[in-house]
Amino acid sequence: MAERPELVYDDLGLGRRFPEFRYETTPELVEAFVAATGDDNPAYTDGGAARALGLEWPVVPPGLAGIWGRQAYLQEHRMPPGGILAGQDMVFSRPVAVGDALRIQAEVTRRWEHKGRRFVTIESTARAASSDEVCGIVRVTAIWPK
Amino acid sequence: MAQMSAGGSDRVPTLHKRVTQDTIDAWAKVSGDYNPLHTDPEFAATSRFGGTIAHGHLPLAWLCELLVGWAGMPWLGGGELLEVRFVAPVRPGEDYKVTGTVTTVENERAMIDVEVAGPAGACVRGKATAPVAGPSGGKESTP
Repeated sequence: MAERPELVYDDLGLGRRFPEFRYETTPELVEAFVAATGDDNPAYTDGGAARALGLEWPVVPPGLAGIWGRQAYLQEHRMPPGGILAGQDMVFSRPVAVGDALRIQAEVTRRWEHKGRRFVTIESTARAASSDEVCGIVRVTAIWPK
Repeated sequence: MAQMSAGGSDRVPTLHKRVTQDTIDAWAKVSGDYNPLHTDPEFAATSRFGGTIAHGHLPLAWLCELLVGWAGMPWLGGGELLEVRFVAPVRPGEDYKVTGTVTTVENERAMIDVEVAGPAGACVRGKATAPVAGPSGGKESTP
């Protein structure tokens, strides 16, 4: 399979919107997240524990937002080597049930140069596929290497 | 939901995390990010970091764990992690503390300074907000 092209600064015009990205939240994904982070909150994996906490279903760990926020703009590209994650915001507005899909729209909201470095902010907004409600917003600011 | 008195100050229970190369490899698997700076010790040894480093989103996930652990499930429907800055890399073989300090509570929302720190000091710093129940348990008071 051919390697995806690099996403370079010149590709990141202000206002560029990437194709909508569909992110499936499966129990297997959540188990892999728990294994990587050690965050074993049973609300993410155990229906009974989730109900005891007032939820109808196990919910997706919010820490996955860093992943979907990044994948939304790298669907068709890869990061050039040497990028530096400079800042990040995450805003959550609605829990997501494990098994629901997210529809994520990423957009370049800011780009600027400072002291020879190129900065880009990309905002990704996630909606639950089942309800169309906004679940979360992730803003990534990175120093783009080329 | 965390319960606090308005204007109170409180320390969020600290998390302790140890990072290994297996931890980083597991994050690569869940994120699909196999950048050799994270996953290839031989390649990373030639980088300016002198070895592999964790993906930046791993300590972000720890901060989310910290905040859900303190504020409870309401954080999933109204929590914020803001102005997060990555000031030093998280490295395998080291232990990290994930901490939060409540600075203010207004209108049933807590402002929290959060940090991930390793042996050499802070790696990630930021601010968070969380919905909290006031003295009334989060219910509106009645006249």
